[in-house]
Amino acid sequence: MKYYLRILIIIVCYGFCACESLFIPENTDDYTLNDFEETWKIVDNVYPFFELKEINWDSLHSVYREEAEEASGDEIFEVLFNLLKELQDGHVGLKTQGGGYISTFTPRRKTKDTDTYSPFVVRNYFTSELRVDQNKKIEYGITSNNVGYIHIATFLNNTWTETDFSAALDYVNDTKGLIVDVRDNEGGNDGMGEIVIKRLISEPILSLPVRRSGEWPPRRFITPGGEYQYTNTIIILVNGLCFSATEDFIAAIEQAEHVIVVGDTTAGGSSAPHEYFLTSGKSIRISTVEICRSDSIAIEWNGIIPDIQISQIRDNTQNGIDSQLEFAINYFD
Amino acid sequence: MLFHQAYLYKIRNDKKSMLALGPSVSISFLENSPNIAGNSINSTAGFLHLGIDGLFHSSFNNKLSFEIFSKLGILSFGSKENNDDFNAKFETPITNTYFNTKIQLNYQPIKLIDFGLGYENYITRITSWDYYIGVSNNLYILLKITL
Repeated sequence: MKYYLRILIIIVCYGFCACESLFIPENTDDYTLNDFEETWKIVDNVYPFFELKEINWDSLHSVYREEAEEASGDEIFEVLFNLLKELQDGHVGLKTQGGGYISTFTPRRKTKDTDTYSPFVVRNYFTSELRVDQNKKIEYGITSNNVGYIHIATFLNNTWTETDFSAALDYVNDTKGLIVDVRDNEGGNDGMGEIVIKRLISEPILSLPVRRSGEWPPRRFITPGGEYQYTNTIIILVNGLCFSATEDFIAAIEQAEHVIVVGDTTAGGSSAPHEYFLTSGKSIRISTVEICRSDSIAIEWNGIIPDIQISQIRDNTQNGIDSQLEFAINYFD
Repeated sequence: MLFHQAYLYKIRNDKKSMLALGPSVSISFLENSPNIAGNSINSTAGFLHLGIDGLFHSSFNNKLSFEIFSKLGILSFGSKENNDDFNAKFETPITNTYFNTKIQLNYQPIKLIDFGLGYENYITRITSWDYYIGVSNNLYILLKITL
């Protein structure tokens, strides 16, 4: 019996050795170098911010090429991560085939303002319960001094509808001023922001300057739309977590004369990222367009500096105080 | 609470009162879905608790009695899911306090029928992830027919 058991163990062990390639994918130098070369070339072709960030992409090729040549197996992932990290871009990241997306950079202001906005603390400034839309992405209410408040949690596509925003606007329509709170809104789709803009402007405003493939196409007009427009003073509350499409929204609406931007400087990441697949199955996400404020200052890296700078620190939040919201409410007195 | 099974052993038993203690196992679920607009706010958590249960029963006379029941979680295995994030860990009474008390007055007018009036209290406090505390106080009436 023992004899047969030994034979069986030997066969199983041999079987596992023979199946090595099933468990450990074969990685040749060419395979990892391909990943590196493809990544470098894609970024070289499409990335719009080399000049703004003073990045010498050519010189980085030789530095990371050496590391890629020495990498074996999954080590190439770390090389690609470090290469893309050089772009210091919150829209840039990579993922393995079937794996999760890994961002290579978090803007400093995002880290600074994390956990400074709290929906629980916001509720300290209202005597009645805030109303929340069915998908829990928009909440709204009226303060005791008759100031309207609308918080938009995201601009991700189809997370809320024009009807949801209209319901919020209808509720706060008869107020002396309006606070549109987009703090902690990390973006999504510019079209969602435009739904809001159309209801809050009384005159057409220009869309933001956008550079695609090195060209600056003519700017179009965003015109008022919907049943009516809110024409009293509007404060847009912003913080360091406002990113991407949210920054586009702020940059566009700040052109309106009755709009004041209050809070802390936004993250600084405005671009339309695109996912590119490498031959190996990995994919990288890269910024492809440059979007600027109406005065042609790049939103990338710079963020949007509010008209009135009010900071909110975590200690305040923990003590139930929202300095930014408090300022906005008192502004209308 | 989805499931609870206790194994009680009589510590004291005389004509008028009875005290029993023993280990228990229970499974519970929590769903945190506050009415707040935001991302990643909803979460669900599941727990397997190992605990200790106690039961004290005392009779005033043949028809009237009261009982106190309590359970305390000693060791729990919990998992939490928040959007795509899944996190599981072992927890102690410090990181996961789970306590339930029930006081019930029973009246048995005839042998096969029991009426009960009770108060039940649940305390759940979890610090393993975001701080969570939940307390519920319940008054209830009970009709038990023994067939």
